[in-house]
Amino acid sequence: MIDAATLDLLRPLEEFEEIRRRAARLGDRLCDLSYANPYEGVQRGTRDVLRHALDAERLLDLQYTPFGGHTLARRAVADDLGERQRIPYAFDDVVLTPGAMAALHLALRASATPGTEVVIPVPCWLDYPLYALHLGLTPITVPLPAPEFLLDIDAIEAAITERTSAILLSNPSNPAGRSYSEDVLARLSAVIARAAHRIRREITLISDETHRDFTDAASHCPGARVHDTTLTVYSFGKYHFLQGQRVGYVAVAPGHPRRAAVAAELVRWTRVTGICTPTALMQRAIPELLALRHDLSPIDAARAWVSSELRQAGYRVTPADATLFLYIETPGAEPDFDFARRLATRGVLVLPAPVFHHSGHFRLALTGGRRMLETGVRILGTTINA
Amino acid sequence: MTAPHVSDVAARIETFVREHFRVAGHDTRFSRRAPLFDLGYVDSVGVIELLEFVNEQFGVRIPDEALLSDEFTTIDGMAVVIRRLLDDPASRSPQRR
Repeated sequence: MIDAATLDLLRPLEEFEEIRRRAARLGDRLCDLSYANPYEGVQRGTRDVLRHALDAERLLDLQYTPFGGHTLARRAVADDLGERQRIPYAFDDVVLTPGAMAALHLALRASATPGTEVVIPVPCWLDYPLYALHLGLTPITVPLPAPEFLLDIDAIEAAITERTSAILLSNPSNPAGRSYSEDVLARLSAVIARAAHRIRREITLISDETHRDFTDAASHCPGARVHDTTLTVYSFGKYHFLQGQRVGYVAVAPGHPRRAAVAAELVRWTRVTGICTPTALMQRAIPELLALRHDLSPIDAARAWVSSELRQAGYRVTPADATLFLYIETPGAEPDFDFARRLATRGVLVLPAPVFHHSGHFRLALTGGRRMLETGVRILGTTINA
Repeated sequence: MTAPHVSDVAARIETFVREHFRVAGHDTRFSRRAPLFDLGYVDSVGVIELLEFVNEQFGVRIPDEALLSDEFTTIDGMAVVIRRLLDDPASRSPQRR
């Protein structure tokens, strides 16, 4: 049975779902800016890769694959990570998962034992605390300072106790849309290393880099580059708009002091938890997905245009440089759900901050397409003073 | 017809492995001495594909004990095994005898 603490964590999203279900009756008149769903469709190149994965026949190609994933797909990911992070990965550093959600579960399982704590800067992706709680861990949320929402290293350091097992964050951050610089991450690494030495316990940095592709590659600093005891989480879903196909991975940093043991443990957890692997077909698509590049200029243009328009309308918009989202202050100190509900009755869906374990803000997705964004921005402009 | 030199055998296997198993050009760990199975260059279905290639290219059937040997884990080792078998008419595949 679900306990009361878990129900508390589920409540904000379930409250939003009630709003969404009602608003969905508006059909194509609804401006759905809540999730990163690509209303203008999936890129042709992505469909071609899936088609090719199905057409390129190979013996046993749609059968079970080993726990940890198909060897050649794992090696393709390792090669890609090696190139991106400038650290040589081996295929068995990588464990393929059905999306980032499963990867997060494995990462938490492999880095924390029940009864320990996970430090989570907030606002954060909605289910980090939920997963921690489910695994018997205590989520310790650390508010990031508005309006910049950059990492507050001192606050994170202050949140670390003798029971801390992991620091869990997204980089670039969802929902705030910020990339963390190498300097900031190096400071975080130093804090983690110092604390781990003090409490005589390994503290793992779980770095969710699902949005890494929506920022300038040169400016994105992977966690594993600056901190050895790191597990990197990634999903192919966001960049290729394949969220429903559930394919991702968790990777052990090559510098991890228990590299081989943690990698082996991750594989074991795929079996113990029943998380297993992504589908055989999606694993076969991985090498080509890694090579596929999309034009992101429409997202960059949408981010700049929506930010500018909403600021002119009087909104305070977090200066995002990444992800598919904008994080915006809820106007007039109105309760977040009241504002989201009021906006929904006008035909615009956004996610209120309590979903992200935060308050006073809402998240807006930039993937709705031009018509939806223009209409949404116009309605947001008239709602701020209504 | 003269049997190929061991380095020619190794070169043909290397080309096949690089292309068929998508070895990245920048991969510095890959070489003719790299353990192909331990490093994830060839998977279990890949062994079947590699043996088909060896059979087509060189007309030899690799005996079980050679497949299970440490020698048959690197390209250089495979080349030595294949070159040895080419000198042994009993190892030729039926269609090549």
